[in-house]
Amino acid sequence: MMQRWLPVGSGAASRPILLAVTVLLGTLIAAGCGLAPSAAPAVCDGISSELGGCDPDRATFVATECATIADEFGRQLEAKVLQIVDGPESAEESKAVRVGAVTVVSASLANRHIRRQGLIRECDAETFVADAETAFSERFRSTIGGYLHDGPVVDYQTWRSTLVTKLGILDVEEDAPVPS
Amino acid sequence: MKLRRGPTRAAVSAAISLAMLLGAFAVPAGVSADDGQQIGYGSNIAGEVYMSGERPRFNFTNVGDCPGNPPPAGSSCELQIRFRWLCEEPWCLTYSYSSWYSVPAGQDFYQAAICADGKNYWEVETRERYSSANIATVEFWGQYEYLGYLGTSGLIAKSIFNVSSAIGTRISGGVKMNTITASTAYSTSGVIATSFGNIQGPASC
Repeated sequence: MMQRWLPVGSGAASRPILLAVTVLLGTLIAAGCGLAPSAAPAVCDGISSELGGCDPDRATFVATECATIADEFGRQLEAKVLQIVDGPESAEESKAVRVGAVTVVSASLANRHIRRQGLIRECDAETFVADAETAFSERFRSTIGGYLHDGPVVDYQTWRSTLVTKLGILDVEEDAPVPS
Repeated sequence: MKLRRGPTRAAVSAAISLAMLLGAFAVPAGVSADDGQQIGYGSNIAGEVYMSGERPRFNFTNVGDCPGNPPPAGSSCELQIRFRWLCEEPWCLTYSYSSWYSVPAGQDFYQAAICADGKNYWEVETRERYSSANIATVEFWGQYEYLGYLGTSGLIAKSIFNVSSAIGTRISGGVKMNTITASTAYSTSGVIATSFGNIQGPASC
């Protein structure tokens, strides 16, 4: 996969020059690393753009009841997950990392919508997942366990329990100010 | 341009360039990686990166997804890692990177399905995907641990402190690694393990 082929003309005779260039470059790079501050990533609605928080196609919610918001969550989550599963590999992140990101971003946006709707005391994680999973297809249920982690495949119920945990954000900080 | 395989030995100049690169991040070792502390993740590095079945692998003590497990109530984390490697020739100044991988909770090793031929120096980076119920200012705290290569140390995350709720832990004598103000974000990545020098991979991939 990774081949290390190098240009002709880089033999032993040119090593002193290479050494000097290497040291110079190393010094410059090291100095640059020490001086350059790392830019803070952009955040949209509290979600980092690195995770897709600023993506135009992120999940959106318009429903005004817990059950219907959960249905919107389930349908959008399935579509986004299967798009990753059926799509190409990425050099940046594994499919499991991307599926995890789209799951927490969708959960975070649903949580935000629920709080804005004043429903945070009515919606709880377990019921929310029970309502959301009615939107899941058989294919999704049989596939999702392969993308919880980059490790052994888990069954649907194991993945489901992690979804309840992620949506535990619906069950805490209910007295917090409503997000703007 | 006509190409050929590079020489097999140029370790001295490679070491100098690496020393220059890594020296910027080197600090006196605060604690040993094998000191047996119970810490958040990617620590108590039981072994360096090594080749297993021609693929890079490393072992570590994965005590939980969030450093300082359990995390402040209402928050969750996922530990992610990636490998990066540098070929041994003097002109090898930039790393090649694997994808980021999600490590199963509690799994004390990771082996990537990637291949790099010849001798390479390897490092493992980690980051945390952090999520909470509301936008909060959260600090990641860590300590330096000796990585065993050219005097370098790695800053290992060990706890989370939620500034907004004043819940969590700031490590006494530790280092604040980064601060995020968000409900969902990645922590800054950091190197937690190395191959302790160039190690031989497969002849070809």
